[in-house]
Amino acid sequence: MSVPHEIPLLVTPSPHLHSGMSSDRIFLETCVAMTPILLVATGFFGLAFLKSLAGVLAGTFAAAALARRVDPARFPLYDPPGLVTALVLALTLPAGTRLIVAALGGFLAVTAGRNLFGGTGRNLFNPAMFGYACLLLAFPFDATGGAAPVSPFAAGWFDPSPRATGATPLAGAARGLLDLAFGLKTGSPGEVSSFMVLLGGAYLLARRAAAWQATAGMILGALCASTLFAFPSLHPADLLSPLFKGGLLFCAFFVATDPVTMPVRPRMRLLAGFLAGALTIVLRQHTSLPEGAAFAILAVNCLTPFLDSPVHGVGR
Amino acid sequence: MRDQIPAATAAVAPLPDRLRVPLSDHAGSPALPCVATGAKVLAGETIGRAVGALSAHVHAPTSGEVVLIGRGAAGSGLGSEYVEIAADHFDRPHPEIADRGEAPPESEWEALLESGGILLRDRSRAPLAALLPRFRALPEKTLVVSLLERDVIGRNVESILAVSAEPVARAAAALRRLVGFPRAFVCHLGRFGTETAERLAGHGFLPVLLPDAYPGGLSPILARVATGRDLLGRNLPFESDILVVCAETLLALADRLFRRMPVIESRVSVAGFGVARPQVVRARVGTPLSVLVDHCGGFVGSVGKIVVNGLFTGEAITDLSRPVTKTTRSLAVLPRAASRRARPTPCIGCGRCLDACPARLEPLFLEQVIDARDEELADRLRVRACILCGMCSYVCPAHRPLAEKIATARAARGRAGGIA
Repeated sequence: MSVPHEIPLLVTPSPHLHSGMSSDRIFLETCVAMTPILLVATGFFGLAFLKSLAGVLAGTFAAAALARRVDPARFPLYDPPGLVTALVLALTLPAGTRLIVAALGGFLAVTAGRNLFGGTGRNLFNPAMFGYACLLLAFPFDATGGAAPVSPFAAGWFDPSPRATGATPLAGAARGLLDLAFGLKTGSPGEVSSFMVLLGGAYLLARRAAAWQATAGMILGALCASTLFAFPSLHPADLLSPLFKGGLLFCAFFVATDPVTMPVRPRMRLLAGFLAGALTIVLRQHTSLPEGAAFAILAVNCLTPFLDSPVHGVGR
Repeated sequence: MRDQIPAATAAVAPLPDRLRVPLSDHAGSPALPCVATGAKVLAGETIGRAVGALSAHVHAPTSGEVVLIGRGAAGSGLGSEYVEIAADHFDRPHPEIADRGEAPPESEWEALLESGGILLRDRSRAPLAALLPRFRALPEKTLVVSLLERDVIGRNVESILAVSAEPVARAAAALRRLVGFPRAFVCHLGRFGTETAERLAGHGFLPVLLPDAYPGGLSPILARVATGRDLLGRNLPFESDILVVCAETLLALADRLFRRMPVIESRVSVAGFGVARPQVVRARVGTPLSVLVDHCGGFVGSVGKIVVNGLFTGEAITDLSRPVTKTTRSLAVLPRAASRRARPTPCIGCGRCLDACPARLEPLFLEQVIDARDEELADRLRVRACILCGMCSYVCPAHRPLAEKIATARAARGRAGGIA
């Protein structure tokens, strides 16, 4: 026999093939899907956005470095889920957030929101929303100052300070539905262009990097709740406009699709998404929170361990 | 990797000097050797007799002298006992199987089948002859003929149907008549096997066109697709009224019924990027696997893993002196780079395993339950319905060892519940 006695052959249990998909690749796809939103945010908020982005990235990097000191095997420095957290948080925070506040948000999101639970896959809450909620409670003025977008490369582009605080779009100045969907709005960088959110979201779902059920559920839930609140008016503008206001759409595509903190079973995903969408509208209508989506997601995250209980699989 | 095998033809492997024929390649008790050391045997001569209900006859793969009746070590692929034959390279056939110019009459079929040593090629490895009385006694029964490759890398069935479509169809019709199956289906891919399917449709078989996607060729899936009944987790030929036979078994049946030839040969798809000329090889039972590799041009590059019988369900081996058995169907040689398994990371809950499981299990939750040693809940989550296809591990982006944990738990639960 020509070969292999000198070759050490590997013996492993079957299967001996793998699809090649990895967790890191799923998270990197999410980052790619966020690119159009990042570009728009940079174009319209200029250095103000880049400043908060830099702050958040620095914070998450510091968190990763700290975790690596504690347990290098479990927390590698190459951390795509951490990058997703950083990007989502940067797009959720108002442009021009103070560097130190943004950094603290990034650090808290990754450390307290994820690593203290045991790392990616073990965290209960969406880390980015966790970080955002922390900042909202600790620094309400920093976390709500909605900077107004400017034309790309206009005079204000290079101004890194938070610009004239725009009225929150939730106040619902009478704007056309199409304008709301495709035009620019005030708000945090991730909320500015619904069109880009849809574009990135479509990429995410088309690449099967995320399941569609949570997104669909969240949109459906928001629609149902807003219909209930708008009743008896059934004007499409009244019903659909809540979708394009605030961070609902961004959360539906990039936060509710986080596999770790949402349920696994398709039906449960749909249910959790529905609850998150409906709760967003309720929080908008009945609380003083600047935006309901983040807290709605955090609330639904609490349900995930129950919805993911193996017992629900009995009799499947 | 299937495309590596250039044509749907089968080469014939050279006869080795020594052949080691295992006596326990089937479900039941090992066959009892009926030759002594030093005996001269002819090709097709019975060297092992079936003992007990699920045992099967074993025949000499070529002519020569019995040099050893030995006991196989664990993991040698030889089973408990084997007969070693020194080939005389004349390959003289036993008078029983010599070509007499005419096919055996139907009156002889029963006896031929009884002693033919034909096995189902699925996980059950059940001898066909032992199943027939069971199926005859059942009032309702269904025959499912599979013209699908069981293996993601193999072209065995394609190479059979390219030249033997007619005998395979005749054998299927004969089997149906012998047992009296009121309903019969023929599953095929459309890419090949259409001719056989049409012939069988003429015999009253209902054709079922299936997509060419793993694990579609596994018996439980075929049974479900054809009959619409969910019998996952059952040991099909023993615990249900559905008999799934594949083209390889039917070819063996055709050889026996129409040419008196017992099972002395297997078709093995030798594939993978670590072998020079991948192809389908016909090899006598007992041929060392190394002969097949040499016949295919030897190894290329750095070999990391050698897998017998399929990349999804097969076994990684280290010893190429292992013989080809009646149930050997593929040999995959993987380069070193493709052999290593990635380190498992925590589950991220993406749900891919749920989508991929053909038995509609929830592998990630089963893993949690198994890790928690909650056997009762594992049972209620139908751990025994797992068909061991390996799809959950294949799709898992976190490289969780789902398939092996579930297979282990399933085996343990099976024993506890009295099902092998």
